[in-house]
Amino acid sequence: MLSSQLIYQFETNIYPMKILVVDDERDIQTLFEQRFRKEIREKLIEFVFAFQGKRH
Amino acid sequence: MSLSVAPLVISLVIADRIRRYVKVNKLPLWEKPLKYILFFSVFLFATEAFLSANEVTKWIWHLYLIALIIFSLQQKEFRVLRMFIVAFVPYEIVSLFSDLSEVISVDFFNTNESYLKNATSLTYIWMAAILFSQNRQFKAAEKERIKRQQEDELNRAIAIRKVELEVLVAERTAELTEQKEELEHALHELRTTQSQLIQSEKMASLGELTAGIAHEIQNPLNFVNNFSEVNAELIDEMKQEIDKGNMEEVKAIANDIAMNEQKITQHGKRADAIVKGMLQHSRTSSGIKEPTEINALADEYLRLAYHGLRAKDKSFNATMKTDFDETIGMINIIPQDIGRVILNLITNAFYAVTEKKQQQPAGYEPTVSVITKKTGNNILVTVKDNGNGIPKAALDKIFQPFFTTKPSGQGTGLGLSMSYEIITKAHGGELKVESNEGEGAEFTINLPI
Repeated sequence: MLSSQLIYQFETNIYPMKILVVDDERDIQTLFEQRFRKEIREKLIEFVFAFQGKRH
Repeated sequence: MSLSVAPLVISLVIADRIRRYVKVNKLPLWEKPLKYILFFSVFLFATEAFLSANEVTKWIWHLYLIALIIFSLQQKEFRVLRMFIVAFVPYEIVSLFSDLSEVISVDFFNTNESYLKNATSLTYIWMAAILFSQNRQFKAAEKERIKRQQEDELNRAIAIRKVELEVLVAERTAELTEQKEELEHALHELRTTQSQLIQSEKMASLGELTAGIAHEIQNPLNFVNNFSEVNAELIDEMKQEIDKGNMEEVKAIANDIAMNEQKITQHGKRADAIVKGMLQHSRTSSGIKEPTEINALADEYLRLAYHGLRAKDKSFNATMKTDFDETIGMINIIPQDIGRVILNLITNAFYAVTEKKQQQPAGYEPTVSVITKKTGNNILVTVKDNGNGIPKAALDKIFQPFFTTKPSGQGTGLGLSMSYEIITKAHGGELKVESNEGEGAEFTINLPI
């Protein structure tokens, strides 16, 4: 369902879709980057990761 | 014509002396013969007086006295009286000699009468002297005897009392033994109950942990599952790239797979550690101190407690603050026990802030802080909350077993008492509490290194 949505968004020219991932697990970044490597490569999605709420 | 007063007195004195001796030494066989002697003496004297037959009876007196003396001297039972009886022997000899000489030769008797009288007087003196000394000896012996008798009586009384006392002691001992057995039984029951309560307290805290553990395990499991799926996909892709002959890409994918593989192992181990930790918590404490990273331990239990409460109550939220002194490193503690204490303190802190949140939701930010600090030879672990604090009246009692402010059924009242025991007894440390009512509470564990 996610990829069909993405295709829909791609077709409707809202790309790259920016997604903010918030989680305290650092490995979430590796996982997401691999899981969606095609989408990232094809610039369909762009991820931003936040591991904590503090301002830098 | 004269009456035989002297033989009568002598026979009576001998009889009386023997009677006393017999009485004292308890020889009942002699009582009857003595009566006969008495009767015979009196009868003989009466006959003599009545018939004025002195000339006849004086010979009977002689025979009688000699017989009495010889008989008394022969009896082994009267050996002690021999000296006494001997006192009368000279008199008897002299008087018999005097009477005989009177019959045989009146001349001789007449010429020697004064000598004979003197001799008789001497025998009287002899008799008196011996009787006197005998009497003294007898009195001394009597005294001695009475004394011995009293001693015997005293000893007998003591013996009786001793037996009575022994019976009393035996009774008391039996009573005490029974009481001791009862007490031992009661103590055994108490011990059993105590260990059951400790176990139930452990189980209660395990319950608090379960939800947190489930959450903590869910994360690594998700990673394991997702990374494996990704790897499967990557392998498919790698095959395609091999077919295309794009070896650069193949290498890149292979590297990714290797990295993911590492992640899978890492998260698998993480889940493993969590399960082990859980088992360790429910298990009886090993009681063995081992080098432990107190910061990691505190962090672990803080997270477990937080997620545990979150799982129970989705609306629960609290700010967790940690301030760990990184210079502490490893310290020697019993990890299960200290973990239990920290968990208990943190759970209490969360409970306190949740309560306050329910009372005044607006503008209140529930905060629980865990701070570790090294000061000289001590490690301080502080768990602080900004909840309702502890009332002054309860402050003295919070470390007592079974004291709880929670509604009945919700707390065992053993958490803090067990914690106190673990810190003070097993680790030689201190567990202190500071609280301002309405502002929060601060528990500090002070562990010597």
